[in-house]
Amino acid sequence: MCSNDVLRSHQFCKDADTDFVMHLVSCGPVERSWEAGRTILTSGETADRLHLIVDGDVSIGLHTPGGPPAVVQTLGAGDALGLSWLIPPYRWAFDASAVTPTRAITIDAAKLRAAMGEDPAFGYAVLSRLLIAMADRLQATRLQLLDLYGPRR
Amino acid sequence: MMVRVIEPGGLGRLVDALIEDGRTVIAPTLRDGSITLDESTSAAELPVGWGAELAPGRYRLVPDPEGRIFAAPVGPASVKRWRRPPTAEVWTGRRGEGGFSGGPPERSAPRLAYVGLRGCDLAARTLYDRAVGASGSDDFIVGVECTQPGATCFCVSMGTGPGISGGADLVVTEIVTPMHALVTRAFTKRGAELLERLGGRDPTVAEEDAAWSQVAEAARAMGNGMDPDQVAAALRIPSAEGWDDVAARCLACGNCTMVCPTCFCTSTVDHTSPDGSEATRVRLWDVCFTPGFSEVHGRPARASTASRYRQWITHKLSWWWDQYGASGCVGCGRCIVWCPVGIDIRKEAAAAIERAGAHV
Amino acid sequence: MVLAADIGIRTREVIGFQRETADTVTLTIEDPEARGFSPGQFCMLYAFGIGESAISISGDPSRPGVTEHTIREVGSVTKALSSLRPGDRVGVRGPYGVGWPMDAAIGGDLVVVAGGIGLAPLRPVIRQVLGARHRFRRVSVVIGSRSPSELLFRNEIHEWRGRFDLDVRVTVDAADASWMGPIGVVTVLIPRIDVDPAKTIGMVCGPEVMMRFAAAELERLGIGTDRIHVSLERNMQCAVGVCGHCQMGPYFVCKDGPVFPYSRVAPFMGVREV
Repeated sequence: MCSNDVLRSHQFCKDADTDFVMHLVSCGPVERSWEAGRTILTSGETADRLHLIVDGDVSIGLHTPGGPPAVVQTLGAGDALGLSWLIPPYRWAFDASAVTPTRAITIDAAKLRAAMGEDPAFGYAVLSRLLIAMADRLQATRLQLLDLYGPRR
Repeated sequence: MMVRVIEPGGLGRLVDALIEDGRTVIAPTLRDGSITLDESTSAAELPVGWGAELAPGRYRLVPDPEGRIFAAPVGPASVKRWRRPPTAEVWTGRRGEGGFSGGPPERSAPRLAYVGLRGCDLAARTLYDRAVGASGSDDFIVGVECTQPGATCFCVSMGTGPGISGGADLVVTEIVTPMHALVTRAFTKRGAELLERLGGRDPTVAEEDAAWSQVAEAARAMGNGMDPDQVAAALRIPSAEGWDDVAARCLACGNCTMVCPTCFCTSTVDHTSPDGSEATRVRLWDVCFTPGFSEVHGRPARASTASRYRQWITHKLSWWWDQYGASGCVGCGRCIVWCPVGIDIRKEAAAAIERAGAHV
Repeated sequence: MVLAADIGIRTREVIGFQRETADTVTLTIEDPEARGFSPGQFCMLYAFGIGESAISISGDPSRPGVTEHTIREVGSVTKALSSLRPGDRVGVRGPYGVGWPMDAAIGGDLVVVAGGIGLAPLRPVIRQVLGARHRFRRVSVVIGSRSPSELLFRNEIHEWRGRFDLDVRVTVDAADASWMGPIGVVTVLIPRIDVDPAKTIGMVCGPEVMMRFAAAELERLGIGTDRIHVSLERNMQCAVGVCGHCQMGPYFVCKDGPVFPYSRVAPFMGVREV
């Protein structure tokens, strides 16, 4: 199980009311850990959980034929890992591995989706937080794409 | 303060005296279809009996029926041409044992005298020196008050003329009534000494009145210019919008910058001898209208004509206050006259004020 | 008329050469007059017959008698400068400019955010801090680079990371599997640092876009924009504020900067093509 304090102090629950946290608790969050180098998600497999990273670096990458996995980004403490659990057909689009020993709070996606459907206010709150997290990540990814330090074209 | 009336012919004695003193005289001369400051070796080169008609994008010489010496308002050249010439070698060096060595070239600085600087040009001279960090000069200055402003002049709204109350050794007011004469005031000791040498007599009351009233009439006749404080505030953080209209007309030719008496930007270019053994660095006048002006790592920070026009006008009318405590514009109107498409800085300033929501 | 900008170029000997990356080198140049410099200042380096370029001083302020300059090859002048070797001569004018506010940082926390070649003018800050470590409280260094092979001063970064009194985080925009560190833009590292925002000075240097976003992240931590400082870059020629090229808004980057409090320049940085 996961102590409510760890969940409450995670970035995903920042400034959230008790209602929100208790809804998450009702989905049965579990603290997990991975040693450095272990796979957390594999692309193509069923996206059945949301991981809220508590500690450690997680690389997001893609396995390309004839080469080592190409890493595009690293997530860390406070980040929400995984979005495909919300979007049919619920399959992971990328690989994720622990670069350093990693701890996360894992929440069952099916239970979370059900709770969101039952209580639209909670569903809205989850989506809002995910949206903000994704907007930040999109911004960061765009900056990466700009290749700011590269030679001027 | 010493005041004398000199007959128009006496100006020749003034020019001769200055040349005798070992000075190069810069005065209005008739050349290239305009009356403009240039080196003058005698009063015979002064444009007696010539005036000029000024309008946006237009300059025409016209005869002056009163036969004045100083009928024409400003021409394209200004004092900056002599303060920092359009091209100047600033460093020469040569390769030698163990590397290279060099230094600034020896400079001979001729002693100058300016005869015929208008109020706007006197103000511009002070501002230009402030911008380029020049201090002190031995230049002898004979200012001239304007009695016939051009249609593009707006020194009144910028507070630089047409009357002159300082900043010169001598100030001449050319009156045509009650008679054609030069009412000349001395503002410095050396100005008074030179005025003494020229002869002349005390002015009559009528002549002093005429001097004052003809300048006052010129001030009244001058059209509206701009509100320097309002435009400075309106442009301090300029908008990116609203410049398309002027950008569609502006050729980014840089004429305005070249003729403006306070524009001071320069570039330095490097020349080498064909065998690479000698190198020279030459400082040239530059204009902020070229794409390369703001280039960082091969790309201009200001790529569009709109942004470059905005830079020029915003710097001059607003950021000059932050940098030098005064507007960069003296109201001489040169940029309006010598813009090939007649862009009028007064209109652009008014448009900027309107866009910023201020009330004219 | 002799003006400030006509102050002559001094010829100096190159006494050291270090290749940092494929397109970046560091030259060590003698400074016999021991003029010294403040972190954040720059010199105009002259390649005989080719031209001058504004290059940040990247060395140690407490090491008199030499200055180090880290040069990225982007044009004909920097290419010529990059080809100089010990024993060659180079023209030097400077140092110029307003540097980083080291005095303001004393007694408080310090965050240094460097992107790409932006680490060059920030290295003197870190060296000065380490030379008087007790005068500062928590010090965080956040470094972003295009790729691991383009990281500047790698050996020195390793040393910094080894210290217990320095929090150093390094990220790259792209890497291969041999890189074990974070991948992503430098700004995402900023929310993780541990400083007291009310007592923190931020120093940011890198491409302008990166500086804007990094300043925004520092602001999000609660650091006032007057305590966040950026180093701007414009076309610098005379370096004394008389040629007009380096203007950004009302400021001459060469003499009012290149280091500015972000609060002062932010309104102008937000105007397109200013």
